[in-house]
Amino acid sequence: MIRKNIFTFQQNKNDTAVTGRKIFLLSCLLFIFFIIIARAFYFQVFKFADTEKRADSTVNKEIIEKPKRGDILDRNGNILAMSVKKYSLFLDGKNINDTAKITKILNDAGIQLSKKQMTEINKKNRNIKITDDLDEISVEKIKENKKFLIGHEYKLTYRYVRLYPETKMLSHVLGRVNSDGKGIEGIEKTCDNHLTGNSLKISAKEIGGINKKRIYTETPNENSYYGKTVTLTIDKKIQFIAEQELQEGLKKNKAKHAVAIVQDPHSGEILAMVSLPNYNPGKKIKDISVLRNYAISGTLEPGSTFKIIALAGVLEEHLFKPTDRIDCMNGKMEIYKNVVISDHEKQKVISLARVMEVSSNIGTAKIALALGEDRFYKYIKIFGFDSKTGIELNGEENGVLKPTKTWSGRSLHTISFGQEILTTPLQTVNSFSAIANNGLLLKPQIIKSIDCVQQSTQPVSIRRAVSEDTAFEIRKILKGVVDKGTGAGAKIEGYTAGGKTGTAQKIDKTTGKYSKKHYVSSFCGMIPAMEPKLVILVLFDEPQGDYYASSVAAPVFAKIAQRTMQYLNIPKDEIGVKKNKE
Amino acid sequence: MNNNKHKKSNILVLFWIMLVVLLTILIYTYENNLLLKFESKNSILKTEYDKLKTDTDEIKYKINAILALEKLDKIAKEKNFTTPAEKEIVNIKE
Repeated sequence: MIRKNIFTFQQNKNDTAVTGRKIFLLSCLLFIFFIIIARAFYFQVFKFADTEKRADSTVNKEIIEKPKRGDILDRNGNILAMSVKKYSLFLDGKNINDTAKITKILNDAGIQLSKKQMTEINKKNRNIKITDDLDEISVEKIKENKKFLIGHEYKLTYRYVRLYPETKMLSHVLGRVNSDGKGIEGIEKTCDNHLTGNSLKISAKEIGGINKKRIYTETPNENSYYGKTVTLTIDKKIQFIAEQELQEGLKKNKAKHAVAIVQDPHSGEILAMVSLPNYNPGKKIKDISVLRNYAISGTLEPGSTFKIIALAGVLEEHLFKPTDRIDCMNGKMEIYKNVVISDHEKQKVISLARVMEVSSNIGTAKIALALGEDRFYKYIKIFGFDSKTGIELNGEENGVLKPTKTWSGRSLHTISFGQEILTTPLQTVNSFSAIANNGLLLKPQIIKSIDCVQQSTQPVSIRRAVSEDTAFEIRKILKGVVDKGTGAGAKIEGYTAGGKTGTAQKIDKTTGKYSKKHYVSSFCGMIPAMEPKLVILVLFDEPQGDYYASSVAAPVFAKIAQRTMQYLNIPKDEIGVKKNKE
Repeated sequence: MNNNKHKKSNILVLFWIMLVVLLTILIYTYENNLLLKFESKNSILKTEYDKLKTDTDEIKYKINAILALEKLDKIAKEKNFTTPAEKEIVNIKE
């Protein structure tokens, strides 16, 4: 028993020793493990902020993403102005050892180094500008080459370059940007806040040595920082038609400037606006005088197109009817201090409608006299003259209209036929649009939407200028001007048209008197005559040779109107009208 | 004997706790690595997207420049194109 017990005791003693060693080993392992966990816990919890800060400073970067400037589109979504990313390549001469290798790599990417650049590389100059017009394909070819080290031998920066696919077309409306990409003329300036996006800071990690790799940790939505898209009311094709015909007219008549505006009278939207001479907004401007948009800032005496104001006034006030007879005094009338006004065609006693058809200055002066200074002044203001229209373009002028208390004895007469007053072409076309729009004066609009959000869903009404009945009567009279009067040159095949010619003498700056050589020829009209879809103004400043609007401006109006109506597929309203011939 | 058994079970419990902690740390580290991988992939895709967008813009500009109305008109004149007669025009509704 005792032997067995001793043996059992011995066996138990051995088992205990083995278990003890096991426990000791496990405890050591656990202790080491515990140390590791404790150390990890210490760094992760107590030293977390410090460690993260040190890691951040070496790896985490904030990249500034430059915004892309928004596009400018026409009403049909065609691009008029857009921005494209272009890269600039700089070489670090100090880190370039093998010039031949670099030259080959750049040649493969389509870049030729000039002698000056080679010299700079050999001199080990830093930051050598090679080109600033690289596209994405060339950049990709350069980056693909692992022997060419980015951040070491070369660096790339990018910028957005503003491009205008139609070059000179619509230059005055679109405007231009400066070298910093900021709008300084036209829509580029007016909508600069919308078109310019916001620079954005994006978090990224940069890892690696010489050949750094960038890992973006966030991908923001580009809509949140890119510039917005601006859609204009302009129709690119109507703009082209107007520019082409006006350019031909400018060349033929050797005029100094020319303007054409096409407007939708029922919405106030400007479908085309041309000011010649124009310029290429993507290139350097040598002569800054071409930057002026004559359509909104060219203040000129309007001439006979202004006669519709006196006409509107007397019809609205029921002072005259279109059939009432007016004595045009055989073409000569003495008004004030031996000042004589005359007509280019002698007339005796004719109807009010006929006064407009033959564009009698005497007849118009007489109806203005009947209206009186105060009421005539009121109608001038009612039709939007002597104030800005509010179109969304910079540089718009008010025009000039003296207050009635400063009018001389002749002012009422002369202002009635468009002298002694300065107006802009936009004011003139907008006043005709009021007649076409049943007497309602609208604000001309050139921006349709910004980033697909409608600027205004409805036409913006300024005021009622005249009643619907008066507007109707005026349209009938204006139709007569084209059918039987001075506006015969504006006849269009298949369509009725109504309008008014204007041949205004300009003031000679040296003598201060009206010149016999310098004129402004204009025609403003609407088609179709009685239910107009379009109102078009054509103006030539100082045409050489023939200066009468009936032969200078009216035919150009007819060509623009004809082509535009066909393009818009507006049904004809008169068959059998003689085609307008040059 | 009972004491040994008790000690054994305590050690076993500790062992399992340590294993769980280790596994947690392992999973956490793995997830962090996975995040970095996805960020890297995301970054590559973003760079690719930017590149494609720039290419698209370039092509858009080139197309619009080629189709500029002035150029088309010049080509039409060179090739002696004329405006078709009204009867020859067919309007297609979009």
